[in-house]
Amino acid sequence: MHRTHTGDGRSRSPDDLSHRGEESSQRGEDHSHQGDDGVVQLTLYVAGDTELSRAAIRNVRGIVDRLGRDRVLVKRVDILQHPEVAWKRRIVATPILIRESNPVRKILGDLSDGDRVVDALQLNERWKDD
Amino acid sequence: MDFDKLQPLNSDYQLQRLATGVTGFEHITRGGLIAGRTALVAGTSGSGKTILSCEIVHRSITQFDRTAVFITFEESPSDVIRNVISMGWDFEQYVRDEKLIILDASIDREVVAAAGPYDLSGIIAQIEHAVKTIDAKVVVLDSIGALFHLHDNPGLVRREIHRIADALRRLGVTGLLTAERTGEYGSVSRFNIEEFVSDAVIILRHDLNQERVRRTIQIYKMRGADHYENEFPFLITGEGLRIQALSESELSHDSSTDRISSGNATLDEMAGGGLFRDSIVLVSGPTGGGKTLMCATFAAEGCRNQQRTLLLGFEESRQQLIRNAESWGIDFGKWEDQGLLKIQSRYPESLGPDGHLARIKELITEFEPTRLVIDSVSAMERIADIRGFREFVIGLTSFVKERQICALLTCTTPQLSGGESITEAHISTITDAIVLLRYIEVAGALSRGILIIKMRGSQHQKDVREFRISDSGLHIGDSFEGVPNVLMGIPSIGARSSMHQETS
Repeated sequence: MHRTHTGDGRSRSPDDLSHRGEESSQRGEDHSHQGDDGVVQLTLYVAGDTELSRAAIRNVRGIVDRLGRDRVLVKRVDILQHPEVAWKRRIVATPILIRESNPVRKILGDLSDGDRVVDALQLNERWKDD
Repeated sequence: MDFDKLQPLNSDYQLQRLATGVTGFEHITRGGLIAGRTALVAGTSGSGKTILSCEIVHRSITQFDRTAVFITFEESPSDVIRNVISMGWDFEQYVRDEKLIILDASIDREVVAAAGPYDLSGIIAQIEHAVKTIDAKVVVLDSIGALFHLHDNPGLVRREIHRIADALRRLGVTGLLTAERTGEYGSVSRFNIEEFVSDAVIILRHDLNQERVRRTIQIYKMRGADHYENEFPFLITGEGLRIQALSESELSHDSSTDRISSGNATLDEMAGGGLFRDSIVLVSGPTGGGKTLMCATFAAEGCRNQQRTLLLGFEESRQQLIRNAESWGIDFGKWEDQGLLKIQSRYPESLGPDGHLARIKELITEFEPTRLVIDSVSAMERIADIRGFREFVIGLTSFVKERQICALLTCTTPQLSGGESITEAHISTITDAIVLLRYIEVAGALSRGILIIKMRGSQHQKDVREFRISDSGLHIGDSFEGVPNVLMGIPSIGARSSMHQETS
């Protein structure tokens, strides 16, 4: 993560800069890994209440419905309300959907191409294994 | 906005300027960047865009106590930090001190695909947050051109760059965007983004000329603000950019009316009472015509009056210069020991003209001389084309004038009698006084003649005097009589007669 000092005033040594994407939690939220129950954690970052944001939220719901709510857990963050999170998580473009558990994968856009999302975030493999 | 170093430029526009501290930048922009506006820095790869931006960040923080945000689109923040540490710019420390925030907008390998439209609200939100967090005054985006490589849709990128520029304006920060050019001339930037951020456009160029890299900077556009439009040469030194402001001489230097002696009472008299303290004097003559003696006389006079004197040789070695002076009874060694005199010799070929100029400026800054002698400035013709040579002389003379130094430059003419050298042709307008030394044939015998053909701001004698060189130095005698065309072989002397009247 290439934030060089954080919004809450904590300074970081530049060595920390190289550990990108390793931030495990912020603001008390837990972004870590899939639990023992095999649930894949996703976070959707949007910027404000725009057409693009609403489309992304709608499309993610569709994907969750398709995969099953017991397989995928999605959190939503509005970076306009939490810009420090955008900074911490290196969010340059929005909307972006991030698979938090290994392998960490990110996909941009309003997520209208559902097959592509499932494919890119490798969500279908686990599903097919069942 | 409480920018420091703000000066209202003129009452019509009320544009406030933001000094950068970059050597020469305030001069060519006539005051610095426009505060609260965004400037585009465009140039081909390797032209120095990133260094200029980083230097402005460095100087903002260290010289003006302003905070900055740097957004990197190409390199990782750790690379940015590494790249400038050799310049002594410790970005790591500025980050720790909360003077600088580096935002990473470089390629994210974890982004595997795009599924549908998106925008760059993320980085805009980051910029706004970072600016507010440390109350940043300067924001650099390096380079926005990279956005076109990171995102497939050029229409999207243009729109988003526009939004970024709007955000910077809203925040009231002074922005610098860098962008690539494909060629040195032609369209300002590769993706024609300048119209979005066109408050100011700075173009950096570099090319190889006679096997030397030549870099220039041009303020292509500065909306509503007065600035110089020429290309100015610059160097990248260990301390950053050094812009050599060509037209510094266009500025009105406070001309001194104080006179100093040339070291020869008769020559002083010919010049109307001595040389001006802050003037540039060109002494032109053939090889062996007395130029070096004139230099030694001028330098010795300075030292005798406790004026520090810098003597730079481009034709003869240090030892040779000292020996020459000795033969006229002038002891340079003694004055060097006393710290009054500094003699340096260099081959012109040892550096490019820009390099020599930078070195001479350094020496002058260090030694702070009252008098400067360069013997000869025409030796520089060997390593520079006409434009480069002219820039060297203008760069030198403007620097010297700013410091109220009296400079004696010599120029070797190609013919023994008369003739005009390239040097004269190209720098005579820059100099304040011109002294000609010529061999003159009188009744079949060769004599030496001396004549002042120009003395800006003063009356001077216009006759040609005879002079002799002896063990005790320079002796100027009476006018030649009955020699109507005394500077034979110079038909142009007639054309020059207007100069004799020149007093301004």
